[in-house]
Amino acid sequence: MTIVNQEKISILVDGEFADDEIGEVIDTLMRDSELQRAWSRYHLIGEALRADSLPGRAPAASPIDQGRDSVVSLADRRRSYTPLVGLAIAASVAALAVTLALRPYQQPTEPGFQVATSVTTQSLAPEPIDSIRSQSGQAVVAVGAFDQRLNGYLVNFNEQRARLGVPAVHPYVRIVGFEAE
Amino acid sequence: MGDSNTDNELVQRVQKGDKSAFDLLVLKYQHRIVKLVSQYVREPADALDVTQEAFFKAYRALPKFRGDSAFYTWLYRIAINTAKNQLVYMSRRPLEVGLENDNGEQIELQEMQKTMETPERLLLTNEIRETIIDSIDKLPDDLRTAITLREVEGMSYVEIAAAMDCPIGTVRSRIFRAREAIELRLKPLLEH
Amino acid sequence: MFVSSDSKPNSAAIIAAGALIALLAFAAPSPSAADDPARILLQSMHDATRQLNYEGVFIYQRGAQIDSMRLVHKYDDGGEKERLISLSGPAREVIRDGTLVTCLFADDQQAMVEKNPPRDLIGIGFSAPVESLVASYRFSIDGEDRIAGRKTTVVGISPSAGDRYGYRLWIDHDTKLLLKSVILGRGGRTLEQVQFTQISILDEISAERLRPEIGGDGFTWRTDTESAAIGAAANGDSSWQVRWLPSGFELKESKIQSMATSYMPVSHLVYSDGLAMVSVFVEKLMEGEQALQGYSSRGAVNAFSRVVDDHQITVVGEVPLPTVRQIAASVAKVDN
Repeated sequence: MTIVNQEKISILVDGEFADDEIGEVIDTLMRDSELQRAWSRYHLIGEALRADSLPGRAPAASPIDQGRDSVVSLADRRRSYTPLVGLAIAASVAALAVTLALRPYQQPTEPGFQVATSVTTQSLAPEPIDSIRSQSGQAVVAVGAFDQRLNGYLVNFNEQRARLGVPAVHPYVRIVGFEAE
Repeated sequence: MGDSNTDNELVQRVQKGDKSAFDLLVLKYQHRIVKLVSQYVREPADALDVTQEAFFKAYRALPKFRGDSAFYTWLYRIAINTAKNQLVYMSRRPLEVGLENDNGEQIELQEMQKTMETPERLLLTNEIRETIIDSIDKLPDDLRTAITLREVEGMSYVEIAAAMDCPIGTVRSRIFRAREAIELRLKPLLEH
Repeated sequence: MFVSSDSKPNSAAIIAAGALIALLAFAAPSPSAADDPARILLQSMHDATRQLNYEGVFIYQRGAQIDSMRLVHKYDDGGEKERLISLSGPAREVIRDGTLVTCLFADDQQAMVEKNPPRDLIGIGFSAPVESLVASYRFSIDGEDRIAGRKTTVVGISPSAGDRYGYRLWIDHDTKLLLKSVILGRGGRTLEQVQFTQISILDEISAERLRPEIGGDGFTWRTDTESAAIGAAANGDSSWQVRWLPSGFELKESKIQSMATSYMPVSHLVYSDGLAMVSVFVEKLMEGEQALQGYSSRGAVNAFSRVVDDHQITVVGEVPLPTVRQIAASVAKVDN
């Protein structure tokens, strides 16, 4: 077994081979039990990552504490949130799990993807400033305030959709739906 | 191109009589199916029985599978129905895996059980989960971003390349290196 | 959450939940599409969804999140009345009486009354030029299935390009009511589903069935003023321009809003291709105010934020992440 073959399995897992290449890779896979184990594990890793991105995971170490980019997720903030503007916030929390990367706007960069790999807070109530100070001394991100603003957008999006009757999920289903375990 | 094409290829091979191709489908979907049925059937042992039965039913029905829906959608329905039947009959009788078979299919079922991971490993234990998540957290940023965009966001290599502003070959390699790094830490937990 | 593997499941609910779900409120297809069986069916569905009396339980799923809800729908004197009730999680209800919408949330003792223009007055959905819809989507009859014990016809709406999502609808054979709908992502991945597990079509719906069970003493009532438009700019905020949109998307509404969650008034541009909707928000950042940068995702809704010239740009839409990102990247200030 070679590394090259293992990488092929990784590509196969992602469904990134052209149709006429799949057969050959599967032939290789079927002949090699170690590759089959890799095939199974690669899928297991994906399952674990997807499960982890869903509600219910306990917060891991804060990436901010580790001096990385400030990354927050609302995914785990549903049960204990404090409605800041009542209904609107509640509705928006139901509407979207937020995995926004936050940076001071004074140093804007071209839009780049920031990936939330962990969550930092469990409540929509503003975090104590000290708890979210980055090691680099970078300007502190007021998590609560950011959540409010994004939530405002999300609520408006859903309300607008309800107004226009844009076909999709029943306009109010997202508002009634509550993020809970 | 796409993940479903791999499934189609495997399904076609099974339909042509290559039973070991079904093993690859089991290896691929066993974790997802056991997680699915666990939402219906609480007891881990029952969940594993239901999972096995679902795969067994799928195997027997596969000759009739016409590919109108994706293989996973079809398997999903079988698993859900098996789980619901289990709930309905739970108080009446124990689940009898492979009860109906009378054509030597029991042997096939046993082979399938061999293919599947053992119960402890199949159920995504906290230890396995935490190892994977911890491994992800320790990855260099570019590897972590690539695999997360792929696995969590479901983005294609082309989309990831655009998002990360790098060649597709780099995306492929980053995702593989990420998996390799995670697998290295996972192996001791999964091997005998 | 009854499907959580960490909690004791509610067997009855699980059995009822069975498969996964959807309730779409599609507007009417263009008459010029009369020769297309799928779109004829969609027209019938649109009428049935509005004009029948029915009551049913459905489940709504996005990701691992599943909610169970009851819907009561009544049609009389040309008007619609609806009551949507959460059956799982905190008690929540939405009552719609014509154009008046009341949201009641028992978990935070809040009630909000909002006046919505009736959907048909604005007429988006399939009333968009059919040519543009046909250019963006393919319509097909995808066979038959059973939902909530009833025979349904499955209609597929597939996007011609990967820059938007597809839909699948299960339409009741007899009544043409929509019993299940799914929003599909890349590779046919299900992003959101609504599906009735039980439904009754009734001759009459008593007023009692439309009366909320929550919302008595202790509730804080307010009308929807916080997000009200403070100026529907004639041409929107002309100092900003969205330079790229997927084909078929057009500006449907443009306004400047005051939002309780933002210091400065927010420009809100609404685009739709007749099926999917995208909102573009632009607001001036205060000095020292922190900005959002990055993306967020849940179900079929994606958002992407960036900063341009001290302005916060956020795009929220029921389109794939790369699409909201590309739209956000194209938002630029117009040099006057």
